[in-house]
Amino acid sequence: MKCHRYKQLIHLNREGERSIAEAEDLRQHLETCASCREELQRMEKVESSYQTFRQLAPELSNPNRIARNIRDRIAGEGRSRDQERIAKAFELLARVSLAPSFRYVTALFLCVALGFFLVESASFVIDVQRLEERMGHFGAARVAIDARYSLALDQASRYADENQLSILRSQFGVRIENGRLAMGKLGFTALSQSLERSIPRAFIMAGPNRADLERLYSAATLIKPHAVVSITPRPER
Amino acid sequence: MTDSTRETIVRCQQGDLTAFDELVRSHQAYAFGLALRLLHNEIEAEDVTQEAFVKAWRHIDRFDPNRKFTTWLYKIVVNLCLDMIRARKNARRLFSPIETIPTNLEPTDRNDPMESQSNWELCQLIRDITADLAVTQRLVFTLRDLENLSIQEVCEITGLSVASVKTNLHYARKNIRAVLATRYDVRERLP
Repeated sequence: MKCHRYKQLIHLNREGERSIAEAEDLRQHLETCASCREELQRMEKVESSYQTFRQLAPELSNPNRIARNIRDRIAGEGRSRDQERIAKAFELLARVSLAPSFRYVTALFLCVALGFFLVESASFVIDVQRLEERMGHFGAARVAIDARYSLALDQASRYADENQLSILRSQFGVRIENGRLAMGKLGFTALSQSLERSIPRAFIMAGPNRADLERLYSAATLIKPHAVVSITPRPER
Repeated sequence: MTDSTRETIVRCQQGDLTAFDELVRSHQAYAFGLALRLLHNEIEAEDVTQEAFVKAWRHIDRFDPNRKFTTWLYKIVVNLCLDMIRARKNARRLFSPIETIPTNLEPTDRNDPMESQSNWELCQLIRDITADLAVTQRLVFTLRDLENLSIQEVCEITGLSVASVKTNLHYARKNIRAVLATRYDVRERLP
């Protein structure tokens, strides 16, 4: 063992820092090495000062204030263990969301979704134009789109007229029973098939009152129309 | 760890704030002392102490009550202190909080800790004596010789090997003893 190692052992003089073998080895080395003996003397000379220095302990100037601040901060957080876990999950989600790769994928997805939506919208508008042309051939009415994609029941019932009803009657067997519109299964199938052939994702709604429209609408749900179209009267010429 | 401390920790793990308050009051002086000896700045040491206990509360459910709480707490304190020291370095103001301390290192009455026992002056004395130590040496010396922890505990807190702890400890003691031999006679200035 070289002197460097013994000088290290000299300074490792607290309990448990030297093994018995190391202590014995050091003792024997000190008997023969003047340099290490000098190191030991230097160490021993200031050992009392060193031990005193070890005992210098700073004091907490205001323990109550620290404890109060800690309590306030913990209480201020107001989170239970479960809430903490949920918050962490959200933090993780936020970190993932902010990752560049995730942002690029999201942007790409939004672009594709927007493109798909635009194509679908254009396709739907074309479908409706074709429907209007077809209804024009019937000579009954023009078709107005319910742009909100929902039933404009009151509005449609206000605009329904005898002309529309006569077409529904002659073409699809719609009849009036007890003041209400009625339609046979065959007639409804014929109507839906007729419309489906030319306008696969559209459906016509018509009727003098809400109940009839609702009846037709529930039937329409069977063929899952893409949108609801209401018939309005042909403008006066 | 005593049974009462273990019981207090179990209550903390069940969300008992009062139990945690007890834990804070019984351990805050140790945490503060360690932070102050590492940072040499009372305000920062208080901040670290508070932050350490808040972190301990947040993660108390992960702590095994059969282990020694002080070791776990010290580990949190040490990590926060090292973060603070790194932040100082990054801000290029490693010694700015104590730059205003007079650099007179002669053993005058003004340096006598018994004459004025404020933490500020104690920090000055400790800082003067440990000024040349590298961060790891200061950390190992503080934990082993000032906080009186075992070598194994120092290893656990710092993540260093036994050999590395002993090497750093040897250099720290050698340097401090050299400073004490030339500049201070602390023994004569304390009762």
